[in-house]
Amino acid sequence: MKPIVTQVLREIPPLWELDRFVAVNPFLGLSDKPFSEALAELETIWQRPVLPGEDGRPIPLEQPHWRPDTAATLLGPFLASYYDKGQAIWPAPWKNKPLFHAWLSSLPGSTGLVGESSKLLKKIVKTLPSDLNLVWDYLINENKLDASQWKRHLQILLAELPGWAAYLRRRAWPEDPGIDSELSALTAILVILNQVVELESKWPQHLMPAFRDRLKWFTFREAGLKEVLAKIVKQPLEEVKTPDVRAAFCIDVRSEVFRRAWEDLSPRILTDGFAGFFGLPISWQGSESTEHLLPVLIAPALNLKPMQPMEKQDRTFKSDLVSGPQGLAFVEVGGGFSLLSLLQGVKAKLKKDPYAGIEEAARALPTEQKVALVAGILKNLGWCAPWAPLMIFIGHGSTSVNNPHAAGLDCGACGGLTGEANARCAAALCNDPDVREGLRPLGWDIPASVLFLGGRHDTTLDEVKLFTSEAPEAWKDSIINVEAQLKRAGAKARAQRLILFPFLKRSAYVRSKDWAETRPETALAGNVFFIAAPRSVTRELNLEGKAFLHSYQADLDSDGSTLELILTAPVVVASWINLQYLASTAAPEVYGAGDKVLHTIVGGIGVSEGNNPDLKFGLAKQSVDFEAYPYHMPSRLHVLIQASQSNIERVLNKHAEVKKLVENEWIHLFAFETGRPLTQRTLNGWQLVS
Amino acid sequence: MKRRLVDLSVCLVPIPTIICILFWVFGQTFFLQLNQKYWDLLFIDALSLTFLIFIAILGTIIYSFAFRNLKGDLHRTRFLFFLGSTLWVVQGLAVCGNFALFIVFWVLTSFGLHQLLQHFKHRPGAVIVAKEKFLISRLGDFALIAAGVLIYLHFHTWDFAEWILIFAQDPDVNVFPIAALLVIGALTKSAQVPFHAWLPRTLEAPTAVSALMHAGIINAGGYLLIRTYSLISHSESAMVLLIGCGVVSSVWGILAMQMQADIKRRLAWSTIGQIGFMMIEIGAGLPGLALLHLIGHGLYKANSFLSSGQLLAYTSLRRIPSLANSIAGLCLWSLLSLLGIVAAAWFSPSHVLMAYLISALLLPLVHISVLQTSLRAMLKRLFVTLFVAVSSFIIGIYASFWFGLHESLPTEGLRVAVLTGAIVTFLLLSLMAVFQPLCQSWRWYQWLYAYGLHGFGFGRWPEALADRFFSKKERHI
Repeated sequence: MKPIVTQVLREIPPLWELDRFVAVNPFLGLSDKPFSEALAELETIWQRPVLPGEDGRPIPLEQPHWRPDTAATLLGPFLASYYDKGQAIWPAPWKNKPLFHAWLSSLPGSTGLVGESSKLLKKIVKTLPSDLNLVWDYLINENKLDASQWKRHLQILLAELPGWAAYLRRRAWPEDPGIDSELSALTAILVILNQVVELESKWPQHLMPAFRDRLKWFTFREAGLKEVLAKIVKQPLEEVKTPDVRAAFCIDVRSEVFRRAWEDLSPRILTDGFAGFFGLPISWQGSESTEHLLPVLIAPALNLKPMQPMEKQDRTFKSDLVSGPQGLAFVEVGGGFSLLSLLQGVKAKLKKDPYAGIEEAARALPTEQKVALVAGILKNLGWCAPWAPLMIFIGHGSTSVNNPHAAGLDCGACGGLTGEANARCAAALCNDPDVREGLRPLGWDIPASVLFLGGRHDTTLDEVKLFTSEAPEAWKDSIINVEAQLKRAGAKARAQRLILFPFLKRSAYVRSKDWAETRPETALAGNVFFIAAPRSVTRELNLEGKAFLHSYQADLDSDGSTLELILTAPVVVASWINLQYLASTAAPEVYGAGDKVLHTIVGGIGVSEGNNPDLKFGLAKQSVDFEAYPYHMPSRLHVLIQASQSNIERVLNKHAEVKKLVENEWIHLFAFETGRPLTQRTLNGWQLVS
Repeated sequence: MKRRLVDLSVCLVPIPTIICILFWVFGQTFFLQLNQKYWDLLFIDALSLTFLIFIAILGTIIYSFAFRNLKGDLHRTRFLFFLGSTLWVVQGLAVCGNFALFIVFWVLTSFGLHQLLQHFKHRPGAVIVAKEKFLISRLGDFALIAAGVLIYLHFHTWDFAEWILIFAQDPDVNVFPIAALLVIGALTKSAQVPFHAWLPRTLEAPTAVSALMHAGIINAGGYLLIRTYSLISHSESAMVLLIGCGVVSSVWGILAMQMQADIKRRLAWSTIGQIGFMMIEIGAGLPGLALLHLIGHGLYKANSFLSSGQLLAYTSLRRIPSLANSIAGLCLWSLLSLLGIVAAAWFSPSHVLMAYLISALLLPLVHISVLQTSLRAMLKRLFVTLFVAVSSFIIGIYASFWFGLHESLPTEGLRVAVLTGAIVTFLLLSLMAVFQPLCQSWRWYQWLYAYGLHGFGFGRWPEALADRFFSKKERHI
């Protein structure tokens, strides 16, 4: 029976901390199953519709009747105090024990149960063995259920506390949670509590269209997207001969708008798309903690440290004054000072450069390692002669205040951090004379007249800041020139965004500084395409910020390794993002984070909504709709690659997990070659798209 | 067009206050032809003006926050309407000079808040809390209406200004029933134990509602007591009742607050504690200090709620002190408070109890200063400790005088005993804050902590009552 338990636990998607926000595919554990089958199964677990109705809007639901004791109220406060990262002023006294034992020593108070049920719980707990493994034996023995009943029982119990379960799954990530994991302990606790209080919520029955119909409507709405792809395929190829500037952006859909605005200014500007960490698997010893500056699917290979350790800020001062008995005396005379803060709102703190010295740290690496890193970047980007005098890596970040989800607006490829550090490192490495020397035998002859720069695209403000402190004097004029261009492009991009999202109304500069703002930017809303092709294919098209654009030139990738990289990393990350948006818009009651105005930060880990102490995952209502009009329509990711079918097929055969995504229809995969028609990879192989 | 009007609506919030200030400044010259009867409905003095301006500023800020915060919400206009009208009603409450009118505003505030709490009508949690609050508010209304009737029977007038004159003539009138009813009314409005359970559960309403409630409406209870201070201070027993409930709420709130890992819940429990302390100040005969506490706390709490989305502020790890640290902190504190109390006794002997209270409260802050690793951080905290101690003592002496409130410091009898008990309780609470890191493994501490997570579990009766009371009625409909 225990394998059943661990199998159920494996199906739980992970949830990252707020400051390390990662867009997670909520159907992660189910990608072995076809899309339709998995969703049908989920609907029976959640007892709520997951697929939207005929108009693409979630089916309105009546809430179950209010109950005093739910899984969340019984366990939420305890879990919050147990995993608290320093938010409670007095730390929980059972923090140093393993989860299950901590829970036992917090009984019966931590459940908030009173009277008969509290006594019953005490009685049950007394008979329990102390080892988690034995507890499971005991529970399995006691509940006379067969395998499928057990599975369903556990799934339904975990669906009552999905947020905390997901967070515990993340704590074990990337390992599978075993029977002695924290998630397993939580599940055991739920099973025990279920003997005292009926945990399963009773959702009122409601009339809704059959699953089959809703699936039909869903796929029908997606069909229209193929027309856009067909248009792309028909684009004539135009090569930009000698660019003045060549810049690599993150593939993020927000870059598309800015890139188009910039390229419109001059035909001699060429931009590329690449995963925002630019292939540098680094982590950085920051002032607060180690920052992993790369997608969560990859482990960091290089740890960079500043020459002097960064100073930690004294952040306890304010809470020292206002908490506890001293707070009673303090607010009397000090409370008036709050009026100043009230009048100003929350201000963004001017931080000192958080990545000061990262360039030096990168240059201090051994030369062979540096050469290998840069060779990888150049190959995968397809960067080679003719070189532009300025080559720029542009990572991205965002600006907002009073926003617990701020990290979610930063680069998703960098674990909720900005891509700035990676861009700066990449530029520093490419400028390193040792590296250029080492690259020459490998086939990259970068002349001394080429300068690499790092930059940061602020996606809220649509501003690009170049890091020019190390740039030699000789490039000063051309840098000033490019900066002026970027300014104009920014203004254009901001105007573009207001056309795409007219409800934003106020200027980005106002929104980014407003402490009451719930939509500082629209993030990745609208994402639906992933296009891996040379930029010339999409250059003339307005893709409305809906596409992840990855540069890929099949003729430069003879061994197919770049294609392999694209399909296994950026496509998977993009599909995670896409499916998160899909789930949060199709079934906000289940997979959405609720309403931002009800959010409260719990333990420095996540947010909970209103009185429900469960953690919230997914996207908030404000991130996907405005006055009940959605600005993201749920649809699966449409991946278009300019490569031969045989090359793609080779990658699919090598990587079963990507093949599963395609064959089980979690993404739609299309391919084309110059002058050839568009084909789609289906379960039955490649088929022409009519 | 409709949107434009909504955009401008924030300017409407402080209008009652502006009118009152104009009346106050130009009343003598321009409005004299107005009948004296209407004049008496307003009671503009230093106290009401201070409260009025406080509400106007706070209300405008909260309204403008909600205005932007709720963009994209389908029912924003309705929400803003109720928020604005509740703010008007609270301003009316502050300035009215007639107790009957006061009760009307009091009830209207509660109805306005009821609508705001139910903004998310589809959320069962929001509805049940609103109902719970509704029940408790009606209890408070009954107490206040009963007090109003008794007042009329006693004094034959509802005019605040006239009571003072009556007391000046006849100071020995027995006012205990009236005072006790007023105190009960205030306790229900201010979410004091045992009427507190709904407050930490009101997180089902937008952040702006929490800010308004914790900074503005909860304070109405305190304002009522300060406004009618000339009456309730004549009843020693009512004052003792007030101090008793204040101490229990204060300790309860502060203890529960320390254990919450959830920011808004922590702020909610902190309010219960802070308002409890304000009740003690009123009971101790320092209404002016209580008014300043009310304003200081209101501003601080509104700011804390509105800025509760700052993530980084909540992930700081605290240093774990050793026994030696704690003893050193204790020694430094003893020295400082000895000096302070001697100085206080020399400066104003009648306020020496207050000096004891302040020093009991500041023990944890001195202890935290000793813990700091850098000299700068240590001095920063010690300086604030000194600033708080000295200024709150001085404000405590003069505040009532500034606001034209009469002070009634206890000199002997039950009230002194109860106050001494309060000081000892706070000292124990402070000692617990200091030694808490050392008793992590003690069974009783774990037990206390576990119950503290749910606010010591006393919150179920109104919830269950509301569930039973209302769900039956709904079934009939």
